[in-house]
Amino acid sequence: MRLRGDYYAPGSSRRTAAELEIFRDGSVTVAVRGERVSTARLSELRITDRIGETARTVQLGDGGVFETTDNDALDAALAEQGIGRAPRLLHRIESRWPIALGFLAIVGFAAWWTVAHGVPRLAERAAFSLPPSVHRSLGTRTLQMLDRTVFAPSALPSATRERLAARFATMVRELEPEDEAHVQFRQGKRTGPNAFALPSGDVIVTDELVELAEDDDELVAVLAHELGHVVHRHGLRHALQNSTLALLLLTLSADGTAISSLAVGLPTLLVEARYSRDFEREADRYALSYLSAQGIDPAHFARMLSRIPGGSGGLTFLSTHPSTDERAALFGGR
Amino acid sequence: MRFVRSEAGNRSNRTSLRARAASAGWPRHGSTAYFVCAPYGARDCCAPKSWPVHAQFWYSLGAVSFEAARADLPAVETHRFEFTGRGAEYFRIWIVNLGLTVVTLGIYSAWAKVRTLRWMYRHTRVGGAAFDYTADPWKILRGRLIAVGLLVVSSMAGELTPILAGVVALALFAAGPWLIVLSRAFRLHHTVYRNVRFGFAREFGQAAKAYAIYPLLALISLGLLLPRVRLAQFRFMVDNARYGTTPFHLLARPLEFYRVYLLGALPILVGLAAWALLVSGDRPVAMPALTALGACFVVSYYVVSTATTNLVWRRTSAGELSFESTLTPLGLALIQATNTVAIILSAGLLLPWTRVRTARYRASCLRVIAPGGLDGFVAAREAAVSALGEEMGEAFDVDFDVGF
Repeated sequence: MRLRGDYYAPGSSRRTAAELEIFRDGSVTVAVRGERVSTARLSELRITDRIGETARTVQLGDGGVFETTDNDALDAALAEQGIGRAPRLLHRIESRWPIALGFLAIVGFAAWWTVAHGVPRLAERAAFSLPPSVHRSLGTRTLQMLDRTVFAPSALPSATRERLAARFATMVRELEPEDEAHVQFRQGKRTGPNAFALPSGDVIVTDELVELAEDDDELVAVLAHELGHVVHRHGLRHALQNSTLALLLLTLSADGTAISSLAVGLPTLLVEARYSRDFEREADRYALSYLSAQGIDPAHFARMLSRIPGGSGGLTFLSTHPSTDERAALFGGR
Repeated sequence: MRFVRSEAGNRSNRTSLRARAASAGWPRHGSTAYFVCAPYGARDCCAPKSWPVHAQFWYSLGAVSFEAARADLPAVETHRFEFTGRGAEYFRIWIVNLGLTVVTLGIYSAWAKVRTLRWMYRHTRVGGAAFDYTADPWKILRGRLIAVGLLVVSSMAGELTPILAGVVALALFAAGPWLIVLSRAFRLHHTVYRNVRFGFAREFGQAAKAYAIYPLLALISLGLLLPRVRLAQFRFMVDNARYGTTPFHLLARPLEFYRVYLLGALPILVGLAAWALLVSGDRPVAMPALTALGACFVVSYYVVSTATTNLVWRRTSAGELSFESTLTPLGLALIQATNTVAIILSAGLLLPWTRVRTARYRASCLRVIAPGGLDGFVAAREAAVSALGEEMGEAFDVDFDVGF
């Protein structure tokens, strides 16, 4: 079998057209213009793997090199001698579209599983095994920051505050001992009627929310939702999940261009919104079971939601909360 | 820049001058280029020895610019780089690499890397021949494992005590130049073109200067020395590289780098001036204004990065070879912007295609000028290079590719 290609003498960049001949007995000769320049046995040569339709080199042992693009003929000769089965298999895998689509399915599934289950599970396990001091320091710092930038001290009448605090205190007392929670009142300013749960177990209720509520049971319903966040450690899980995800996407997409690192931002945003909606649903379920256990009508929560302005609408896949309709349906409102 | 006026004055004894020049790190061409420059001072004015003596003379005098001197040369063999890979072919290799990496829990990544680089290199052709990448995946796997182990140990040390974390950070900082040199040496040692390997001199001291001490100086000078430092870094990268036994040499002058950075600073200065005039006082910052300012920085990035790449290639020589690079800021920005859109809209499936078209564009902008052809290069004898440096460099994210 004869292959056309180029021959480079040992240690030289001078190129000459040459022919490589492979004989039945496995011996190989390289000839330049009919003159033999090298002889060897095929099994002793180092032949680089075939990758796509690129030129391959045959290292002739003495430092000389034969380079050829006649990949099929070379592969046929190697197959005849029973050499290099694994590299040929790899090339066959890489050159078939159906196989490529199969691998695409594997990669797609792995990516989906990592994002949908792997990262959240890892974050959950980490959040529950970290000592309370980590949660506390994270939450305390966040509260200090919020106090400085957003909130103002509560302006509610002290009688209202004490009445609500006593009601909330009974709720907190029923939690498991390892779940601590403290209710704090703040003037929400631009956050409006709202309630927040911080990783430290601090639950912040804004004055605006208290004023919006028509009776205390509605506030208890909202607080039950926030306690759901505390019990499930959503604060720390949120932080862990998002940083793991960002790290993962950055490592996968890093190819050095400035713009591609920007492009990572959008998918990160989408997945983060999804994670956040999952947390909200979990907290909603907690609130629902709490309210049912206490004999409070869950519709209180739905009524409260419907009264908070700007609760629904917008792009659902970018939103951090499930739609108000979906949540109201869960609590049997409307 | 090294001035040697005192030595240049002593023209009576040329052999000793040449010996001293060689020990002082002057180009080892030992050619007319050196003797033409010597009387006029700086090493940076040396013209490639392949030029006719009169062109070297006028250029060295500073009477004509580099481009003008070269334009006057008789027509010589010029070869355009080309990238012949196709997106569909790369897609299959890419997805199989990813899939096998997932299935083998990351172990296949070493093979994936070698196959990808090999495919890329072999499709990069100039003068009718392709480059090749010859690293052994087993070595890369070993380097990767060591690097990951060190990363885990260093991050755990950081968790335990703050003092140990400081020590680890300091050690990493000190190891930076070492990693750069080893990573570069490994990459170039395994780059082959026409049966001749590239190589990289392991000058750790120079690396420490270029990547640890000079950047500190740039910081102290509030960025005023930045162009000078970038030149020193490129000079380190180019001057230590060789093709077979033929060393590369960078002839650029600091002034040329300052010109590039001044040009790059213009859009930012215009943007900041407009910002100061239009966005004043307590009014909340509008999104469009912020975007416009960001765009100024992006423009500046593309101007500087393409102009630097062009400048470095144009001033690089290897023996008789010289290069011409014609990247344009608009060309590169358009390609990368459309790449980004394509990647987002295709959920990453067009990533291989975007890599191929970037490689095609970059290759199409590069030419090699070879007056004596590409046949006369000789391989050097050398020992093998460890993969540890390259993989450690990757793990700690210090990749300093000058872009082949």
